[in-house]
Order: sequence, then C-alpha cells, then structure tokens
Amino acid sequence: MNRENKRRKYDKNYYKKNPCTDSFTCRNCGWPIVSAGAGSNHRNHCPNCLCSLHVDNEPGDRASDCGGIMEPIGVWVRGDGEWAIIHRCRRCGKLSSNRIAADDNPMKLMALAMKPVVSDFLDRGRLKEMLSSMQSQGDLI
Amino acid sequence: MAMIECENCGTMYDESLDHCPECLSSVHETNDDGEECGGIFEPVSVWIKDKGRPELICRCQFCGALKTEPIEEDDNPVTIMSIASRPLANPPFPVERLQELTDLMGGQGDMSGYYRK
Repeated sequence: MNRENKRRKYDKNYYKKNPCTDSFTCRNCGWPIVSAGAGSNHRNHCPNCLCSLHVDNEPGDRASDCGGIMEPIGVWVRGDGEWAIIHRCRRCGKLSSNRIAADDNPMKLMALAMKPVVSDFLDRGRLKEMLSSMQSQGDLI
Repeated sequence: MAMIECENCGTMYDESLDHCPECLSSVHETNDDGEECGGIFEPVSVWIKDKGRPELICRCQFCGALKTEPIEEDDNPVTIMSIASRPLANPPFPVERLQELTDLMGGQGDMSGYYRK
C-alpha cells in the first residue's frame, strides 16, 4: 500500500484537506460521475439529478452515520449573485446549502427555481383581491 | 396577547408567531451546540413540502445555519413572491439557450410540455 492510499484510509480528516477524485455512480439516478468538469475540486452533487449524499457533518469529515440521499429542495441567490442549491436529507431532514457546479443540468436547476413560483400555494383569488385593493388598473385575464 | 418588535424591520407582532409576518425574519436564539447565536434568520427560499404545504427556508446571517418554517396565513404575500422569484431574476446561465445547454451535457429533461403539438 503506498503512502497516499494509507493516508486516505487512516487519516480521518483526509478529505478535509484533499479533494476526492474517485468516479462513482449516482445512487439516485444512476448517472456515471467523474470528478472533473465541476469547476471545483470538490464535487458535491450529481450533475444530472442534483442529489447528494449525507456523508459529512462538517465538510469533508465523512463522519455522518446517516448516509441518506439529500434531495434538492430549492435554490437561493448568495450575496455575490451566485446560485446555491439547498439540499434536504430524505432520511433525517438535515439541510445544507451548496454552490452549483459548472456542469449541473440547467433544465433541472430552472425547474427547481420555478417550482415555488408556479405552484399556487398563495391563494390566487386573494391575490387578485389584493391587486384590486392596491388600485391596479386594467383587467386581469 | 404580548407583542414583540421585529429585530430586522421593527414591526410589532404577536410573540406566538415563529417569524415576523412582514419581513419573515426571526432571531437565531441558540445553535446546535446549545450556544447563543443572536443572528437574524433571513428567508432565502420557499419550498413545497409534501401535500402542498409551503415552507420558508431561512438562513442565519451570522452563522449560516439553515432551518425551515411553515408559511403562515398572515404572511406578507409580496415578500413571499419576491423571495420565491429572486433566483429567476438572476439566472446563472443564458435562459434562451436552456435546451441547447441541456442537450450538450446529455442531461434529462426538455421543455416540450409547454409547446402544444
């Protein structure tokens, strides 16, 4: 066993200091994933389905006992104007935020961002009443 | 009914509510380790939990902790819409080339659902 492999196996904080370059298959959608192309050395989620795995408590410590699939629930805009995905563990409900990568599926990202806007959790009838009380001019369809 | 003042915007609201109905912010009392934080939880996103229950995703401005909170009946609809539409107003890729970019990576999903055949 060479030194690097030994360190990877026994040093608990190895992935805090070193990027993981292994290729793997997405546990959710079966997409084959390589570490290159993310625009960062630390790939966090599947570029196709945007799901991640709950393996870390702190970034890189591999200390979580949960191991559930973290599904994307929303996106938000960080202070620098960059999008970040909010993941939620299907098993334990832990939330985490992560920057989007360069090769993430833009269709799925857009679908994620449009979901709350398109859904009618705000009562459309009450919104129309509000609009007329705000003295909007002209007719709504 | 005791009223408290919102730390973020100064609105007076009922203390039984989880967050300010106007700016949807609240105060991060203690973190996971049981230590006091005192940062302001600002709403960053909205998501629909199962069975169509909408929830707010809040992030502490001071320590970055995340939490979800159900949206109340009396929450300001304009604030909610502004939070929900913030990512759409600031897309990281050219929206007009969405299909092209997705095809390029061989990713799943297309926009055919919108266009009637």
